[in-house]
Amino acid sequence: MAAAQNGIKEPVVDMLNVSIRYGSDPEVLSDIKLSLDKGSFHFLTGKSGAGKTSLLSMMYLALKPSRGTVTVFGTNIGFASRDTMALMRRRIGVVFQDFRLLEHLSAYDNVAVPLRVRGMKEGEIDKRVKELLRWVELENSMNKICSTLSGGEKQRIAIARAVINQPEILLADEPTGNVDDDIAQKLMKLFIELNRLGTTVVIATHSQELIGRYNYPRIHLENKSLRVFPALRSVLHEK
Amino acid sequence: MKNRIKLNHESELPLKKDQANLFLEIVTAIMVFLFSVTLAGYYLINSMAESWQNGISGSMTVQIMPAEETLTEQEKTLRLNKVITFFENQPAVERVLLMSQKQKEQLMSPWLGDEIDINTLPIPELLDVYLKKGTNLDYDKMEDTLKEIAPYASIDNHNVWLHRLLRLAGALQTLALSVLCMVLAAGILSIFYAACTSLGIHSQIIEILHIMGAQDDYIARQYARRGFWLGLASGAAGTVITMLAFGWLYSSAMYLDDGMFAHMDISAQGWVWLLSLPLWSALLSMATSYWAVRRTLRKIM
Repeated sequence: MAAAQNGIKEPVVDMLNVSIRYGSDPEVLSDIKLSLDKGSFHFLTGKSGAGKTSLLSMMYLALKPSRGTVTVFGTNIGFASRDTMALMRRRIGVVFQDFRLLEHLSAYDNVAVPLRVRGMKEGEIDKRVKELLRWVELENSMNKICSTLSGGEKQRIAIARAVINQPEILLADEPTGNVDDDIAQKLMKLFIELNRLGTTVVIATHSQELIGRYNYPRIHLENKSLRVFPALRSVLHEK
Repeated sequence: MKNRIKLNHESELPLKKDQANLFLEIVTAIMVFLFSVTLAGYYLINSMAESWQNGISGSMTVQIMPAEETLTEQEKTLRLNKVITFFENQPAVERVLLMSQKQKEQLMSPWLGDEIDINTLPIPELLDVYLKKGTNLDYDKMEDTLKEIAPYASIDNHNVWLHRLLRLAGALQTLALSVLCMVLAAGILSIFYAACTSLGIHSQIIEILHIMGAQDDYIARQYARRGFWLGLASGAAGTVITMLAFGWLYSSAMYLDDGMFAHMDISAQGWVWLLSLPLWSALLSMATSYWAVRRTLRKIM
């Protein structure tokens, strides 16, 4: 609060000396320090098994660190109650690589889940869901059961579900992996527009083409540690 | 169709399709059946005990044994009248009835048959003495006075027999209450473990719901809703089976028109409890499901 009054941006995610270990296995991430400002946009890169999913899991509050502190929206997640965590998660949108949709529900009901969880009225839900499904070009498939949809359609539903709450943080794991180039560009425009409105965005990707096309800083994971690379064009400008 | 708002949306957790549902429905119906039969038993014993107490504690039987063979018929009648007068003069006595010859014949016929003339047998004279309500008598003192009039007379105030009968009824009611508690506990445990099993089956969906910001209450309410309808349907099935069983029992008991079981009946309060069992079953199933989910989620996730 004091930082905001002084014009200093408060980080929405702050990790200090964070390590992750599963059981008695060696650490996946070690002594990570990361601070994400409100309204920032980052790509997250690293080889498979580098710890991208673990890092994202901590950000969407599904995983607590083995060591160190993770602070999200100013709350140390190590000390937050279950209900507080649930309320914090409502401010975070997540797109999973494997979509993780509720396969027995329709496209409409999947996108509506975050709103129903918040207790929103069905009239308002209906308006928002239909508008967003129209935007991702799935208005004709809204009543189809998810298990009958293609990979690309599922991915768009997963993205619609993640953004319907107008989240303060959007975390996406390979969000453009299963869609054609036109849709991919449209989805990236959506992320950029959300970011312009103040959403902090982190997109995990292997696509060098995507990173090259959009000029945003990159968080790179390698050998259990993390490095942040600035946006490519700003580096060229400085030179 | 497209512009309609979906007011009744599909539940995020597909609980209706759980394989454990059928098992739980059958178990709950059986539990409700056992519970209602035991509860009915409790109320039947209660009504019988009450009728015994009301019918017997307000009366006593006086026997005058025909041991003095030297008395003439006239002397015997005189002595009998003296005994009747003695009891009629007691302030605690409401009325005295002498058992007629025909009544005694009816009483003896199951043992001796209809052919035998009981006048040839040494059958005692029997008096039914009805007491006023709320009176306390000193039976020993009264018997002593009675023996001065008729030395071979005795009073049976039924108290010892009634006391033993009521003690048996009390023990049976305690047993019935224990069975009710056990059936209740078994029902709660079945619902609890069915909910835990279902949580395991749907753990991935629950994880997604948590990531979307669902609180445990949101998930538990879906289970509670399923629990309510399951408990109501199973409870109704169990109650219907119970009513059919009662119908069969009543038709069998129709021929018992007298004796100890004549007052076997379920009170209005008992019927209210029995007929409202589906609702209680639904509420219990709902509350147990909710509690089981909240408790389990807090422990494992």
